[in-house]
Amino acid sequence: MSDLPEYNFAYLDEQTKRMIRRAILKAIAIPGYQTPFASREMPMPYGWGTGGVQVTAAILGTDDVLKVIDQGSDDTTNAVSIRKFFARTAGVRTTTRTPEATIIQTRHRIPETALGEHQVIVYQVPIPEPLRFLEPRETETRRMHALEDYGVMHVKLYEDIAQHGHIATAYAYPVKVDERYVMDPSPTPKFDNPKMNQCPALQLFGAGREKRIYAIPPYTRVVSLDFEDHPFERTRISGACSLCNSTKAFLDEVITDDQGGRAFMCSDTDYCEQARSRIGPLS
Amino acid sequence: MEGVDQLSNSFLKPVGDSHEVFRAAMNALAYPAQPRVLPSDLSPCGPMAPGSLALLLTLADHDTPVWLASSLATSESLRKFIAFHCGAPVVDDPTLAAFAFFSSPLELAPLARFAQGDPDYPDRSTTLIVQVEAFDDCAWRFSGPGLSSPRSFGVSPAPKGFADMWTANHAGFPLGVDLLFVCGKEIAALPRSLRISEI
Ligand SMILES: [Zn+2]
Repeated sequence: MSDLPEYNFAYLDEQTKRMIRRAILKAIAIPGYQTPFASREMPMPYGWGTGGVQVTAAILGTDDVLKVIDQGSDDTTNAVSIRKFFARTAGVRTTTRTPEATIIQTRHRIPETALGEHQVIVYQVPIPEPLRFLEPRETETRRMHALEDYGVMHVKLYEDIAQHGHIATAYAYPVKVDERYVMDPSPTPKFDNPKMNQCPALQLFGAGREKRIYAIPPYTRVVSLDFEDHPFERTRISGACSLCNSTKAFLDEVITDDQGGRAFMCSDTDYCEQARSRIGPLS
Repeated sequence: MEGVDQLSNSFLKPVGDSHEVFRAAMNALAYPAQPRVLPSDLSPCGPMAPGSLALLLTLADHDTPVWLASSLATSESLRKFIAFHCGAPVVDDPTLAAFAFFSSPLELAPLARFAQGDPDYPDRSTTLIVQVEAFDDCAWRFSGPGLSSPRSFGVSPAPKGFADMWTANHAGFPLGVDLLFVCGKEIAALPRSLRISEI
């Protein structure tokens, strides 16, 4: 990539990268803890995952192969523009194939294909603090994490049960990392929570607006919070993908015509394509 | 010293080289207690080995005070190297250090003299970078995040009472220090999250 300038590879200057890299090392050493970092302005709005983009920019090298997904899809505007951003500023190869990627930046999903030790998954996080809706003051939530005082979180989940008969939280379902920190897994469906447990890949989380980086190291225990009489349930729309017939993948409901016709499809577009290429088109 | 021009003893490709060194350190912490390649084409600077210098250049700058063990602190060429190449302030108070460097693991004790972080911000701790003569896999057994099963790992020379030192370091979790061991062109890490038992 000799035609690219040596400096500002992947947009960030070297001093900023050093600062983010130091935060990443601390985040790995303290699984689930939200490490502060001095988030930089990025050439995209906050809602576009500037935290994830900065983490990816700090770890990305010329040998990496980058995949970017948004709601499971490689083809949304958000995913395409982040992929283009790194292709332009770092000259890296990009892919839509999960197994080929060395870095996967994601918003709202974890790929269905199991991740391996050669991979890092970077989550875009809008609100990193799982206790924020229960306690708006940062000094207080810091204290609660320090004291491992997670009673309010259990009260909140229990109120769910009292109101709905089950834990209604379906996205950003809180987890406990290595039996210590309660962590927000970012707005992934709770269907994806079990994939975080003992995952062979390093998982990094970046929140740009809130200036936090946190991590789940590989092979780390990640437990979804629950109660003995109301255990965590992994839920998905029951049914099969109308394209690949999968009864295991997480499905999205899509409107197929203006008569209100509906169909279910895999939210992970790469998984669906690979499944279709194996079985051939459904009649 | 010894004919090496320390002014030009730096990364040939600052962006690519520091990226590779960072990824080695990141993977060493993510998959701990196992040596992996630490790329470095640097020359030594006084008693400081190329691998330690590479980590210094990659991670330290004027925002990160550096503390030097006595074996390193007396090296005038090393102090000049730090001032010239990374601008990090060298401090005498270990509780102020973001990074602490050692030319031997025998200088490690006591770990508690370094910044441990505070309960609200456990990340405000010192990272210790330690040169060792060899890695061996039979001294201690580690388990915890990053390890799919317990793993034996050791360094030589082995500091006396290291298992007790590390037990105390882990007991303070999330407070504590993290260790990066450097041996030639290899690096291995012990994050504070790891539990130790003696074999
Ligand atoms: Zn499908």
